[in-house]
Amino acid sequence: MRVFYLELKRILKTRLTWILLLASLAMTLLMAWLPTTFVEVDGLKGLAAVRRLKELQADTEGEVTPEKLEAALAAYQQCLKEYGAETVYDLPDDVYTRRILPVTGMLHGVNEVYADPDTGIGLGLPNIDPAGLGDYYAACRARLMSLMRMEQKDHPAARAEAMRLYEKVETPYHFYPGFNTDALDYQMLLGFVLTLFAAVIAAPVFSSDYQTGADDIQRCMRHGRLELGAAKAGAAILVCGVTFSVCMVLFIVITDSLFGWETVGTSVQMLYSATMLADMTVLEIQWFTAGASLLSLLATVALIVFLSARIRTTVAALAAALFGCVLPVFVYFAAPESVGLWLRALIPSSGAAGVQTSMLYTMLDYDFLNVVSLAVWLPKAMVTATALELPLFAAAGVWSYVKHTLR
Amino acid sequence: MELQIEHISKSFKDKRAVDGVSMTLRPGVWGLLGANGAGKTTLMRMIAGIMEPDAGQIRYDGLPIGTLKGRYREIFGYLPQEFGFYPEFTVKDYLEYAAALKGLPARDTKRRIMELLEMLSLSDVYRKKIVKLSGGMKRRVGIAQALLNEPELLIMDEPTSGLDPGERVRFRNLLSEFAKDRIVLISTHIVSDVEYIATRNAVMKDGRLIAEGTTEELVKLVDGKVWQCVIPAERLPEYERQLRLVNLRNEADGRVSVRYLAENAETAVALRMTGAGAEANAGTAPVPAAPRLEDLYLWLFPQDTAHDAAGESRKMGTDQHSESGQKKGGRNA
Repeated sequence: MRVFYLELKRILKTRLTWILLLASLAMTLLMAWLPTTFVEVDGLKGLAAVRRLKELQADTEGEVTPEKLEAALAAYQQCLKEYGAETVYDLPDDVYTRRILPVTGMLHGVNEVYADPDTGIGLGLPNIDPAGLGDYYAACRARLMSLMRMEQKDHPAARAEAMRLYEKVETPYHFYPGFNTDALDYQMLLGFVLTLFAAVIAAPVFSSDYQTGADDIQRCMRHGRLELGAAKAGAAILVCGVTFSVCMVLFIVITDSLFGWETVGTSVQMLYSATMLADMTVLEIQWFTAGASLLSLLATVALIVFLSARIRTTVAALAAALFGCVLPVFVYFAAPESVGLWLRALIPSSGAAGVQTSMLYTMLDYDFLNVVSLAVWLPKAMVTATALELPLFAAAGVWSYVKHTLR
Repeated sequence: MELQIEHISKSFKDKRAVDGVSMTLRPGVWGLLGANGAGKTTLMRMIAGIMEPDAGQIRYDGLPIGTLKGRYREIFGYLPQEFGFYPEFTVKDYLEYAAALKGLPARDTKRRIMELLEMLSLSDVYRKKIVKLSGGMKRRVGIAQALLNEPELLIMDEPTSGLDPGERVRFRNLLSEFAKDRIVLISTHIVSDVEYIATRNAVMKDGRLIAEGTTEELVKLVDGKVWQCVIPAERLPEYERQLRLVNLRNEADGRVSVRYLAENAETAVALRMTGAGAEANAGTAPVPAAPRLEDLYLWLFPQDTAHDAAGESRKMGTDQHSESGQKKGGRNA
């Protein structure tokens, strides 16, 4: 424990660590504030626009019942009819603000849910019969089924698993206006930045000692092998984990305080796809993705610690660490689909690296790992893999360090 | 207390760095001598357990060091040639860190650190960052960490490099006192460092142990091979070309006193007789000199002969004692 304490103290005394910790804090504050600046309503910007949007959509907040949806769509179509407009873009700005904007949040998923089951192309809100919205949640299930037939044509197990997951989603959905999904994107981006910072902190853990020769002395000391190896790996994981956790908590608290704590009770299906498989509110998905990203970061740091124990120079270790962090992005864009999915599940940084490859966007998707008659939703596979990889890579790192000899 | 090195060998790609070395170290200061690339550092690393030998075994009190693991490291102190440390550490931080790794109880750590700082004249820089210390001070911090746990077996690779003459004398005295009932093995190019304090010496060449014994025993190997004479200063280049000069000293009358290595006095005599100039300018006849460990070193490692030293001496125009290794610096394999 004394060795662990001193190692922790050592890491916290390095200038680079302090620079990265302060940079992490600055990035957190900046990235929590930035999404509020993107909101524009009725000529207003920023937090004033958020407040205006809440005022305009106040009547729609709460449960998203079929009756409310019918009324909202009817109001929408009535407005177009009154102004002889084919689309909302044909309406005068003030009319759009007074009559359309109040119902847009409520009608978020309607066009998607009532899309053509064979092509997936939406009919457009003006062409959907408001009376048909009485079976909205049944239509959601039907839409998911048709979507899964297109997405998982050859995998009935995946289709069944998707339906099983969706059955757990609480209906009716809830909607509380004012939250902006950019905040969730920025949370993922922050996670990526923090992962890169963690890579910089963790990469030199062992390789720096090899390079400077400090290792030659330390491993000749009584506790200089297993104890020191475990202390070094543990301290790096702890520092990175605590930094990430503090920044994420701070980010969520600031974001939700700025947009309003009532807004995060919105069901994720009211902000993303209406048939999204996660049974979560915005607040729940914020915490879940933060937790999953934390696990991903810890497993990534453990992998970097392992690489650091195997690589003899700091620069090479850092290069390998950064490559490991951005690898999921390459895999996402370059690897063939099924191979890519398996790689994304197995690469520990997948849940925290990038935005498109992040846990949030993986949860928005309908990707499954198919093994014979078994199908596992990719987000679940990623969380499970990282939970297993964290102790595995950490132990491998310590073992490699203990067994390291000069060549 | 005994460290047995049994037929140890180690090769790197195309080079056999240590080749079947066997020796038994018992309490006392052991000097390990050898030119660059002789295999000293490799041998020390294997004794330290940070490098695996290709063949052979190292035993401490009869047990292989690989099986002793933590128990071996508990009684072990090591200062490598390159003293690596964390740039953010002060002397205090570093020694506390090392003390924890060596398993010193927290209550004894401060007392022991203070003792060593006093002993090594580091008290004034206790709170300074190591990276800001001079080379000699850094070396002393390295020595302090090696001594922290009062090891039974202390291995130091070039411990005196970077130390000034006063520091070297203090270090030699410290080591002599410390070595009672302990095994201390030091490698150095500075032959005088081990000459005074080593109870036994081992000499390595091309990875092999070529001689072992007390200083007195070893210098007998060059008995009758060390000569000295006084020559005119202008004839020094001729002598440098023909003889292996160990040492030279400018005399007041424009002549130079030279000490050299040779199987016999014939070459010098011939030089004296055939040299240019009048007989009065021929210098004195060579006479045998009492051999020293340095003479043995230079005899065994002719590439380290005193030509460089002589060159330095000419530049300085003063008496020059040839500590060739110190001048050449460099690393071992």
